[in-house]
Amino acid sequence: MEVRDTAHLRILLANERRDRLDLLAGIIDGMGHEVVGREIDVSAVGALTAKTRPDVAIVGLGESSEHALDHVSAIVREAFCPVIAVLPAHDPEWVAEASKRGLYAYLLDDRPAELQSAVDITLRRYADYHALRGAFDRSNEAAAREEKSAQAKQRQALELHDEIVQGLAVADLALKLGRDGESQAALTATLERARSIVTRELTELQSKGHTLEQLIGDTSRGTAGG
Amino acid sequence: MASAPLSSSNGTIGVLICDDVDAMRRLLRIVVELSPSLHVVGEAANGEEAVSQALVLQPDVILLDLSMPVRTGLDALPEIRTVAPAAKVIAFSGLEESVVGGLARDAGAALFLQKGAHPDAIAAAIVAAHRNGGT
Repeated sequence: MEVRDTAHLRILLANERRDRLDLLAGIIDGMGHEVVGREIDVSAVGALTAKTRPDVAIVGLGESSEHALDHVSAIVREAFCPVIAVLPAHDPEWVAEASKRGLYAYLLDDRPAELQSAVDITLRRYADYHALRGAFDRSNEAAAREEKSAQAKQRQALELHDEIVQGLAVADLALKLGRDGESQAALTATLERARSIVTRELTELQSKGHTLEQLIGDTSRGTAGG
Repeated sequence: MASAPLSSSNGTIGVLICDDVDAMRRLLRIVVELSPSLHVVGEAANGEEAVSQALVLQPDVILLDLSMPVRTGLDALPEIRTVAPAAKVIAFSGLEESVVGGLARDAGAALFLQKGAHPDAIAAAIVAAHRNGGT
């Protein structure tokens, strides 16, 4: 979600009291925003939200706190916009329950100046949250892809290493059978195979930016000699 | 229906050698034929061939490499036991017994033998598998 210019927003209003709706609509209008819908009925606010796709929804607490909570739930189900509540007085229990249902922010006053700044801050926080979440999701996807790629490489390495084991097993059995020439041939072939595997790995790592000096250092840490 | 085993006709133990590495099969053949009580009845280079050869040849003992292309020895093992129920299978692998031995036995192997074993130990294992079922 991009941080939009908050100068002109499309706002949905919900309140069980029509007079409060009209009052708030006037304030919103005066701020330069567009009221895209007003709804009293909980059963209709969801459909209205889906239809109008507002930038912000503002729910007012009227006679019934439960009614306002249901408004919050219905709007959150339908839209990806932040929901702000306007409360006549501080109500921690209501705020806690509304938060569980998806309320994003609340303010205690519907004076125009405070409402505008509350909307600004809410939108920015909402955008930051979505950007962070998007980055997190992308990071998770990238990590999953990397893990899959690493596992594929590991399996490939297993196959190659098994080839070396097989070659050495042949050399070993030939030696034990007194077939020195055959043993030597198997040893030589296996050594060549091992060498080509290492060379290929070195080349691939160099192409990814590692220097030969670093890689030779890595190989030196394995066993004595070399 | 499995036919009577061709392998025991001369009183020696008939061995089917299954390994995807040509050189290994050749050396194992030498190991078997060095022993007067053993003889080679056939070879297979992958798990599918191992099954079909086991069915046709009904060997006494099968030396079965676990890592083979087309079909692994481990995967083919249960079917081998079905088509050649009298054959004792020795799982033969470059992997460590602690890693794969249990899996091989669960699949029906009578014995596990690690690649690198002395030729005498290989021959002794074949005889032991045939006589005692590996016990």
